Amino acid sequence: MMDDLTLLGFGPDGWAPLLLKGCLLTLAVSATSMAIGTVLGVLLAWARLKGPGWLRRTALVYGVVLRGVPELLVILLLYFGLPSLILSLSETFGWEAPGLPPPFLVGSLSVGLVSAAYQAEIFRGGVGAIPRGQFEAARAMGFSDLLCFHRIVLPQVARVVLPALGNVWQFNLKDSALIAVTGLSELMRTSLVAAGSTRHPFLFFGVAMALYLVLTTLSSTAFHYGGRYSNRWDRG
Amino acid sequence: MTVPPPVLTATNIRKSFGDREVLAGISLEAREGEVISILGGSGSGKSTFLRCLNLLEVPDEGQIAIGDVQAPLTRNRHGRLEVSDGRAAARLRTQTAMVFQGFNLWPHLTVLQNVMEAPLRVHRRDRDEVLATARSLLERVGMAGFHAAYPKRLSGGQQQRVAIARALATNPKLVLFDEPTSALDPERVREVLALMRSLAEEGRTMIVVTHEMAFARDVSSRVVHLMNGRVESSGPPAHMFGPDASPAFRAFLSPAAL
Repeated sequence: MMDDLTLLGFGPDGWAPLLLKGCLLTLAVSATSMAIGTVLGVLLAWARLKGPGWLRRTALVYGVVLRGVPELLVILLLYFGLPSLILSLSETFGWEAPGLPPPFLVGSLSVGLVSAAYQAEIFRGGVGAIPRGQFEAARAMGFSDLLCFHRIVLPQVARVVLPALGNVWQFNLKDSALIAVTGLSELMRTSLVAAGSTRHPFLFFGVAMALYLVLTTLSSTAFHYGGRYSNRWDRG
Repeated sequence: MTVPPPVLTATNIRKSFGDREVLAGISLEAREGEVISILGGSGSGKSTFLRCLNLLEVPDEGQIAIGDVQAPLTRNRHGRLEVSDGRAAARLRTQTAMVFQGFNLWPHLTVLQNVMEAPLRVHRRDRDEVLATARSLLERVGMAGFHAAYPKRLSGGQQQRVAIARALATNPKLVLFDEPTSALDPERVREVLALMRSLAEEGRTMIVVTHEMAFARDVSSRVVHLMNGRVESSGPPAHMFGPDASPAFRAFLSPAAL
């Protein structure tokens, strides 16, 4: 028991600093991928709703593919597959060979790309849930498209999509564990290393589980209150 | 007596949905202070015509001008009219306002915010001035005690009165009413009609699509009867509701007599 506490402590043999750093890194990767997913998701939703035919079809195919393959595969493809393709290309054309890409960037990007596919569906549904008359009332008074989006669409979409986005965020947070395969020392990777080098797998995986639970619980509480706030005008 | 200048000039408006021709060439001029009631059976194209006037629907043919500013309609390469300049269209719409059958208040904004939104964000008027106008308008429509309420809490009649205040908040040259009382309980109809009557009396230029014959007869300066996408007949209410009205309009007024 003393042994466990030492291992989890802040002393010279303790893993606490690394585990906390892992938590922060997990949060950072998740937040970055969520942001990438939101920006790309809004664009994809716009493409599906208002884009010209070819763009609409491209966005549709994107969603089908990225939601239809395992996330791990996307990460492996971007982190190992793409560089090896570039490597063989550079050998062919005699370019300077690039190294492996930065894990943080590729990790966030791959989780973000998948997240975008799910978020696009959520935004599309959210805009569809706003009655036509809402846009018409704004247009009839001379609102520009941008002003209408900002003042009329966005606040109403937020109410509809926030609970669903909370779910996506929770998936993002958990999927970020897959980035461990790139060697990025986020929470999952750190606990793997700790479990292996101390031979206390139950202890460290248990702690990792607890830390993930803390992260997901805290953030879903935040989404809950965000959702309540954005919904303040629709209550009784 | 000098003739007041035209606020709206619509010329030869045509519109089809698929194969169905809804508007078969309608022209209408509204002069300052006029209250024009547009009557007609369902499917006569009256709502579509009204929605063409502020370009919520783009007509297939025709011209529209607010004051002396022409609506930015040009022919595309397929020969159909389209809005060629979205910003110019938006600018034109700032001169008009619309009251809808379904109210269409913005549910996420309070009553006061609904009224202040367009003058603040679209017309970029001074906040204190906008607030003062909004307060007096809400007082005027009998909704002074509801500034902080969200639309969901209001009855239909109350929502429509707020929507009318919202429409007046920018001081538009022309207010379009699209069946403003059709979604209301009979009791609420009266309060909204009374309000519209008082607007007419203060000289607002209004075009009203309605089924309220008493309003058309007593309040409007001109009645236009649409049938099959055309102006079947039009004239001052004294004529239209008198013995010399067109047989078709008389039949419309009393379908049971046919």
